[in-house]
This record gives sequence, structure tokens and C-alpha cells, in this order.
Amino acid sequence: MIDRVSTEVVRAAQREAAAWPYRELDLARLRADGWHPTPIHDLILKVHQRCNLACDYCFVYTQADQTWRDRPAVMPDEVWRAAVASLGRHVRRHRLSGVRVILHGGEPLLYGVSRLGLLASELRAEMPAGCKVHIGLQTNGVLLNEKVIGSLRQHRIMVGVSVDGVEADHDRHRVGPNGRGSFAAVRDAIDLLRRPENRSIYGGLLCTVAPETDPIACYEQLRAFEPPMIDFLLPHANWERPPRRPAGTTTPYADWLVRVFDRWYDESDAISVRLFEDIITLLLGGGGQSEQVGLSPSAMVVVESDGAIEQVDSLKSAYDGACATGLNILHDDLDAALEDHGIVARQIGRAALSAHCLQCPVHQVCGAGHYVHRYRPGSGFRNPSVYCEDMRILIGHIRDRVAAEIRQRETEVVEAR
Amino acid sequence: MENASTTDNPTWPPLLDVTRRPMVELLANGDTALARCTNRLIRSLDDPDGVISAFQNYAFQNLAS
Repeated sequence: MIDRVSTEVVRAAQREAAAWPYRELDLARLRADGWHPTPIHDLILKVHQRCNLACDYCFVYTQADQTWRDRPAVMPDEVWRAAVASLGRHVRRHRLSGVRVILHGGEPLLYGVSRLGLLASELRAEMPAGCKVHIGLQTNGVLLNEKVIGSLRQHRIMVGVSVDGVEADHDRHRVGPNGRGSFAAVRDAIDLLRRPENRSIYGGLLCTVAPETDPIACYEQLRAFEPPMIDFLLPHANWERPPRRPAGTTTPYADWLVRVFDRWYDESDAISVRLFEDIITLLLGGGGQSEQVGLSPSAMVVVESDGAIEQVDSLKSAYDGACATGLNILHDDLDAALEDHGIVARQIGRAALSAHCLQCPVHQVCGAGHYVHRYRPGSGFRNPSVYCEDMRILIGHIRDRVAAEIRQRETEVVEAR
Repeated sequence: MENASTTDNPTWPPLLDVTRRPMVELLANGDTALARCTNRLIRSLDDPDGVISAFQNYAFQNLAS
């Protein structure tokens, strides 16, 4: 009974904060029209709420939602065991061929590698035969050393590292509590991951776009780390808190990304850049695999350190409580999350887009951008992205480049005959 | 239409029409971005779970689809 009251309180607050989807999405109508939810594919476990860095743009600690303060710093064993058991039931019920569990924070390595190893072992044991289990973590890299990497390798835990380009740019934002930059520690960590014996767990690099920086220097720095993949993230912003735009610029994020794209595309690098490859695949008529572009269903939930089942924590940049579902893994089944309007809204493709977006042909590729970037107080998440113009410029540029390459190949084929 | 620069044309069709192009043409030249994306698109046709949007704040390229 207590849980139901709590869920109702959360839903009432969500209806007040965001008309779409919490008041306007008609779930009964969707079901009547034949829509079915997409089962959870990515489970994010917030094993540690605290971080050993204090990045100035962090959406967890520096933005609207401050719920981390009320939660246990460390996820108790009973919480992750409940999450593992629930995921096992979910996989069996929906006969999933694969799932990903991502260990997140805060800084997940603060949890300790022995506990992470135990979690990974029990997780693999719980999943049915035939289900591929991918376990990964995203770290700021500071705590990665030979011993830690050896343990992660032993437990087949993939490692993604966050790094913001060259040392000066990285150290401007990604600092420790003492204000000192973290680049040197991250570089040492990545050097370890690049070793042949560790490459099997080297997932890739995340970099947040900073339009005042040199994009080519940033890209070349990331490339020098020899990652299997790179992704560029737009800083979280919305219509209430628009992104920072240097004076005299209108689309600085597109301008920055276009320069990186041209360097990457011209060099035919074997390194994948998720954002660019997603856009090219979408332009070819395929589906996107990331949250930033496309209309593919989003099939992820977060389990917080107190067991709360939530939406992805980038939503914390919108308003206090924006991630909440009112559910808890200690009492509720994962399938219950598939009834949450916030989660449903991210699984219904075009039906979640604004009239403005539907009139624009680019929506098939941009998908209205990252869900978080659509937020406007009151109306909620049925708006164009606050990065709309940047996305249009970037996608248009990529389309021009790819179309030119296809024409070139066509010409070469004709001439060869 | 495909010859028009998209940045000057607000009504450009977003998708590239490659329906008449042989796949080998798009897959040629080895490990280029275009070849990788074409490969990915082909693999996704066989993905039993369909193409799913993955968690953004984790650096890993899902090669299954």
C-alpha cells in the first residue's frame, strides 16, 4: 500500500511538471492500436552515488535534480541481487537473446573491484543459457590501474572512459575536489587499456562537446588513444536552460562537429564514431543505436543505490524528480517500468514527436534529438530539441558528404565498364 | 535532388535513395564509414531484438546490429 501511494505521489508530480507524456500520452489508446512495449535491454546499476571528480557540467551533482543526496552512497548487496533476479525473470519472460548491464555512478570503481567481480559472476549465473550478457562500466579513469584492470578483465567487464580532448580542455572541466585536472591520471589509465592484453575490455571513449575548443585537436587527441569507438555528447540543456553559445555563433555545436566529421570521414578511420555512424546509417534508411538521434525504441532503466527504478539520469538536467517512476526493484518487477509514461514515451517513435518536428523531413534522422534536450517547463518533452538547428546543419552536411561519395562510386563503376 | 546542397534547401529529402545501387558498390573500399554503416544496416535486418537505442553515457559500440 505504501508503495502504491508513493508511486501515485511521483506520478502526480510528473503530471504537474511535464504535460507530455504524463498527462497527454494515452497508453490505453496505444495498446488498442496494437502497440507493445519493448522489453528492457540495458539495465544501468548505480552502484556508487559519489564521485571522486567534480566536473563542472555534471548532470548528477550540478543540475536541477539533487536526489543523490538522499540515497545510500553505496548500493547494498540486497539491491543489486534483487536487480539481477528481476532481470533474469525479465529475460526469461520475454525470451531475450541478449542484455547489457552497465555499472555506473557517480564513479563505479569506488564500489571496489572485488564487489564488482562478485556482482558480475552472480549476474552471469542468473541469466538463462543462450542469453548474451554484456557487462560494462563507464569511468572517469582516475582509479584504473594494472590491478583493477586485471580484475575487470578476469570478470569480462568492458570499460568506457570519459575524456574531454586535449589536456588543457579536459582539465578545465574534469577536476578533482581540490580543483586539479584529471587528464594525467586518465591518460595513464588509457595507456594501460591500450596494451594488447587489455584491449579486449577497452570499450571506448566519451567526450562532451565544448564549442570554444579546437575540434581537430580534440579529435586527434582521442584518436591517439586508439579507442575502438568514440562518442561525442552534446552538453545536457533544454528550452529553460539553453546550451552555452559563444558570442557571434548560432550553431557552434554543429560547426564543431562538422569539422570533426570531415577529418574523420576524409581519413577513413577505422575508429567508429557512434554519433556519425548513427546518422549515416539513418540516412541510408536503417535504425539508430544511440539516444542522440533516430527513432529506435529506448529500452533502458536505471536502478539507483536505494533500489529506485528510474529513467536515465541525464533527465536530472530537466527538473527535480524527472527520472522518478515511483517503483523500486526491492518490491516491483521490471515489467512494471514498461507501464511508466516516461519510459513508454521513449519507445513509440514518431508518435512522441511534436507537430513542428513531424512537419520537418529531418525528423526521420534526428528523431527530435535526445529526449532530454526537448524539455520545456509545463509542456514537457514533446518539443523539438534545443539543439534543433545544430542537428539540422550537422545532418545536412553529413548527407551531402555521403551523397557525394555514392555519386563518385557510381561514376567509377560506369567508367570501369 | 541529391545534387542540391542540403544546407541551402530546407525541403531536402532526408534519406539517401540507394535502392538501385548494388550493395557491393556501397561495401567496396574496405573499412570506410559508408561500408561499415551499410554492413551494420544489413546485420540489423537479422537482429531478433530489432534495433534498440542504447544508453548514451556508456562508450561501447554494439556490433550486433
